Amino acid sequence: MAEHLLQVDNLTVQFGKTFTAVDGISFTLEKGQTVGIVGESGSGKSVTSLSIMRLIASPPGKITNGSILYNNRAGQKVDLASLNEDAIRGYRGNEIAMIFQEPMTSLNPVLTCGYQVAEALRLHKKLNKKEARAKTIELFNKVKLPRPEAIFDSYPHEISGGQKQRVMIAMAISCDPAILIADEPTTALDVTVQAEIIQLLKELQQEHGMGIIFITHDLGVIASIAQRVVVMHRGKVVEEGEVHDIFKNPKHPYTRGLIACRPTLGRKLRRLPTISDFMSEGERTIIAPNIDIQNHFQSLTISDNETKERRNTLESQVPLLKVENIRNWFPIRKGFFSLTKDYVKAVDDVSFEVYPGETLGLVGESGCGKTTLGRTILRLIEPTSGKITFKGTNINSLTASQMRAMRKHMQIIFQDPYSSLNPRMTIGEAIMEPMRVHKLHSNDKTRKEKTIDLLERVSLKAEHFNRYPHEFSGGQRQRICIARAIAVEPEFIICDESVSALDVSVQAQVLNLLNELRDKFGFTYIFISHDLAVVKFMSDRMIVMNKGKIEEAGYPDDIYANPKSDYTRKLIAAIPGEI
Amino acid sequence: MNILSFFLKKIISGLLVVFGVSALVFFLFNLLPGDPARMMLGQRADVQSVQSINRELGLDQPPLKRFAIYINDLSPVCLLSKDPQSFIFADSAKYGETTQLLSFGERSIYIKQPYLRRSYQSNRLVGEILVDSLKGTFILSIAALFLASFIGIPLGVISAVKKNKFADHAIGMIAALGMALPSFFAAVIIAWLFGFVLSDYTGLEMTGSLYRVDPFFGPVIEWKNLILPSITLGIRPLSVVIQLTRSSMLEVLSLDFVRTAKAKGLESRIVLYRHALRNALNPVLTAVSGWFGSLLAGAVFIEYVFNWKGIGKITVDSLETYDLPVVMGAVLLVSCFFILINIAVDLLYGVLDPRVRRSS
Amino acid sequence: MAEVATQQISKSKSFKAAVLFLIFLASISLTASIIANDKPLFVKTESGFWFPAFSGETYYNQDLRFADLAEMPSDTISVIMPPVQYAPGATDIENSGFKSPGQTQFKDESGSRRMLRAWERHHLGTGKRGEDILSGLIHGTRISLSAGIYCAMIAGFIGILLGCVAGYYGDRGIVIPRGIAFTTIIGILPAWFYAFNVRTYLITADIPVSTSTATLQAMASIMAFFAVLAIFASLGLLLNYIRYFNNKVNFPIDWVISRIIEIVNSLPRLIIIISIAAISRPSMANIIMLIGLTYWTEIARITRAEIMRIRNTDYIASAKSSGASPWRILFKQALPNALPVISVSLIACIASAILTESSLSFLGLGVPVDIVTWGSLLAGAREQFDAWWLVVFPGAMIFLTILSLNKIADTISSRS
Repeated sequence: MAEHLLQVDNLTVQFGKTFTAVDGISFTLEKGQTVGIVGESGSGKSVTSLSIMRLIASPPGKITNGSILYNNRAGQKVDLASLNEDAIRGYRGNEIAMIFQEPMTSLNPVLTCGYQVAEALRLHKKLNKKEARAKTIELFNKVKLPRPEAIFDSYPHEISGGQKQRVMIAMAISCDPAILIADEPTTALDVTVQAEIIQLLKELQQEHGMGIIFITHDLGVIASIAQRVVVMHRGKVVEEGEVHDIFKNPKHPYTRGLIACRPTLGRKLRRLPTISDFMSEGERTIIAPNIDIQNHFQSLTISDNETKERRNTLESQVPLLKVENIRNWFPIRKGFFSLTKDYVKAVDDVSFEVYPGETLGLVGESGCGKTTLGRTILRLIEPTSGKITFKGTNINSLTASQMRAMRKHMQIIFQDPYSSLNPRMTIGEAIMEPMRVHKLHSNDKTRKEKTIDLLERVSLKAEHFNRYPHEFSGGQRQRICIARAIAVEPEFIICDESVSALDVSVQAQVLNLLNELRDKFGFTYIFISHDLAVVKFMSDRMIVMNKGKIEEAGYPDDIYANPKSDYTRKLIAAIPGEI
Repeated sequence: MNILSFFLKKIISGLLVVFGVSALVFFLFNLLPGDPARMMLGQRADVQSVQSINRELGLDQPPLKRFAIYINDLSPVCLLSKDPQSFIFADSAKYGETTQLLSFGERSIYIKQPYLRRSYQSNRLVGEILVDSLKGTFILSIAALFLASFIGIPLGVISAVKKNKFADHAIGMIAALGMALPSFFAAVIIAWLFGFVLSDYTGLEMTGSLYRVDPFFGPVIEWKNLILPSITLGIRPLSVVIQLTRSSMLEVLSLDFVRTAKAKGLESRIVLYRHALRNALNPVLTAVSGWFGSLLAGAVFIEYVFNWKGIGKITVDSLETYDLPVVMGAVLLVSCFFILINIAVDLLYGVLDPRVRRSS
Repeated sequence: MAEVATQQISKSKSFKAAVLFLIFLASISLTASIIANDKPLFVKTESGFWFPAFSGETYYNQDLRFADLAEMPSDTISVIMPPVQYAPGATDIENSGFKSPGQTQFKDESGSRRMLRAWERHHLGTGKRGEDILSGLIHGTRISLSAGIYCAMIAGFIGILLGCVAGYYGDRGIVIPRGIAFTTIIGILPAWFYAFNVRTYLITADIPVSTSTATLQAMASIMAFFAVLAIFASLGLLLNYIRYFNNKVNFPIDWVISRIIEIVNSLPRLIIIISIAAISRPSMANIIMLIGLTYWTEIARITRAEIMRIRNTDYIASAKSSGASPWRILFKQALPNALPVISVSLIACIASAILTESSLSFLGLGVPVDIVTWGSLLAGAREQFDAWWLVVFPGAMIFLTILSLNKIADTISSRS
């Protein structure tokens, strides 16, 4: 048997005495190969990567079993799991390097970017200050940073997120490591930047012949970078193999569900498949009806006629919401005494209409003004100019108290389910609160009944009424937020990145729930997201925003099939591999 | 935003606060009951001399006019008149040297030193009295802060690194005790223990100022008198510094960039000092600077117990004789120092933490 | 994990101890006059029965004090004395001149001197005039605790109110028509004139006589100030018909409040308190008001920062978008979340108020001479350095109280 570059064997990591984060996993990595580890939050994929570097917080984390055999530069086999602290330090950053998920916080804010990269060179390669500087600038060139000299002396807050991640990559490859561990390196980045970073990693791998362990929750990213994939679920490896094989012919029901529940640009589905279509988990066993993915997709596809019919009925109505020439410019003050003013044009001259019962998708990268636009429509932010007409009323001319009454008809669901629920209010209270504000239903007793009804409608239970938000998972919280939003029986709901913080499988459930509710109650949605595939799945019509302006508007199929603006084309091209 | 306009903004808002403080001090002390003229002359003074004193001090004027004159007296840039009858006559006995800037006939705009009035008791210039005593308080406070920082920061770091171990508990205990110890209680105990009971071993005395007046050589600096008061004054800031350093260090150690530094293969000592400590020091710096301001004022009890000549002691002594100008002067002086230190710290932030320069 | 658990247990142990100690202090301060008093709790003679310690009566008849009845050998009289038989600060000539707790103590009984019985002793020694330290400590507890709590109430009211307004509205939260802003600014001068210039004498004249009427007068002045401002503001409504004045402007309330906080914060608190306390007539109420009026800035700052943090969370945005009014959001959503932080700052305020009060009485400034406090007991040691009991006992009381308060504050802030 050939020597593996890295061989993880039966690795078990425990936190405290009771929680096993990683449970007896094994996989191998060869020279010049990329292994993707994919899994949802809590699957143990990050713990695995940190264990290889021996960076898990200890206590409480501890490697309790297994070995991590690494074939080092000198040709010896070492077990990283049993090395002492001094010995492992010699490998860290030198032979095994790592890049992390959050480029924003992974660099030290008070040291210059250049210094932080040069530090590793001076440590492992024993370069002097001048040599390290020259080498760092060379590395910055290699990772395609603009103006490497300037960035050498910049502080992390002075450069963009993508640039920070390039600095991190430069730091990681500085000592020519044999293994690069990338822990969700592109998750926090925009999709176009993600494509560039992935391209860069591929090029670097070819040049240096590193083995890469690429950890991500996104199957698409795996498809575009990895040769092998390890699928993890609750600390265990459920499936391992060649990327192509696994995506074409997944064996484990979890893998099937994971692949199926991801919205894709190519298909038009009535409902997203969920993992529960493929398996249900008992105490210990997994009950899995053998469902073929392709057949399953087939059964859920909407026909073109159906779509056309729906469009016609929707667009024959009077628009519910009319947005005309909305501008939202934020002044930035500059110079002495703040006299000269400049503006950030967050939303710049945007107009559109939304028909009753329709879902309008709003897609764009971070900073394109989509969130500002959403909040401006609800008058949570006052527009600089422009007119918003909702149900025939110009809402900008309403007084504060009239506006508060109007809010009964328009609601919003936010991105972060953790911060959008008041931690000191039971969820029952949280859902009843808007009813009380608008004096809906006669008394608290009927309100409570109504609330329990709502909880059940979003697949929660009546007994959850008196619990606090911290007792719920992210997906459950988002359901609570949905229940709270529909508690006042609104006509119009803005979903502001409402599923972005959720795992794909949970995302599919929440998206399906939103669609069910729309069909049942006739809600009108504006669905804001950075994810083109999700927006395409959800919306009847969609708008692509860039730098505060509308790049393109139209039917999702048309935009996808034949994008008119360059920006949209770039956006679609950047979306990682179709499975 | 460039550093210069950052600087200017801080100074302008600082000046505004100084003005507010002066106004508050003026109205506070002018609202107080008590007749300065009677205090100066004693209770048996006749009406006429009381009136003449009132006129001399301008106390017969309406409050707003008095306030305007007061501010004019304080401001380094002021309007003065050549007319000896005027309230703002450019009296060199009051203002000392003045430099004329602009002239409008009789009245001109001058630059001068702030004039804090004269003591009712000794008739000396308040400015002079305060500058004399400020030195004592200043040295005392600096000594206490040095003590607090140089012992507190290392202890805080040790405590954070050895979290939940014995050293952490012991240091935490010391900090908790120090936080709860009233300064005058500590002063009495320390003075009694080291200056009285153990006096033979320590060679220290219970009371004494920085300067001792030697019958032959005049004022002589007695550094050893600084030891006990500065230790006493330093106890609370020491505890605060320990607690802050610990919590700030623990927070920073859990941040992502510390993991990055470890992933580079750096030694834990270097990770600790080069990467973590520099980030953790900001809140500590704020606290230390904040304490400097309150130490200037808070040294009152320590100065009182140790009989140390400083602002606090001067204030308490002046209060016993109702010498309001000295008290007002002391309050203003300490406030201005406080504001000045805050501005200095804001600027220092700009140097220490590159993020501040841009975000504010 | 196990280590963390034990840590928490030991933490909660000392937390419990701290809470118990404070409850102990509170019960002492509530029952001080029953525990330590020179008047009997209960007196029964042929002619009836009395409760002098509760009613405050001193004399049984013209020349006989209730306390003296205890010494009269008689079958018909029964007297129950409190556990500590001395009033705070009462002179005891026989035991004057700093008697230590262990020293022999005497009593003058109808001309003859005898040694005090065990239960009659000054358990913690005496001061210069023979005043009982234990009784002083017990009654001082009441002074210290109430000073702390009242100060925290005053400071908390001002601080939380201003902090909430500044934090919630920020600089852009309050938008008013230019006309109203214009007339209100014009109105500040006359309002100041009517409220303060005209009424200054009324306020100042009252300060030495009675603090409460002075406070009332000051309140009236503040009301008058806002009343005049309101009149001018309503004049501004008329200007709304002119287009220029109808434009909206921001009122930077946060900037204004922050500057006020900064100004008050730059004043040397202790010196200000000492000065005013020394100049005005000594009174406990004065001291409490002064401490309260200077310590609110810390609470305001903390409340402002916390409310500002909460204001930017999504659940506040969600409450706004569901149509709740600003006050409803503030009270139902924001304040409950800010409560742990605010209560920590309130406890810190109680602790510093107790420290300040005892420091002032230590200096002998502002606190009436006849009120015995922990600080004034400690001050007695300045005359006699050998009298360790004057330092140790009151010092330990202050120290333990502050320690307990700090412990509770720490625990709350680490749990939230």
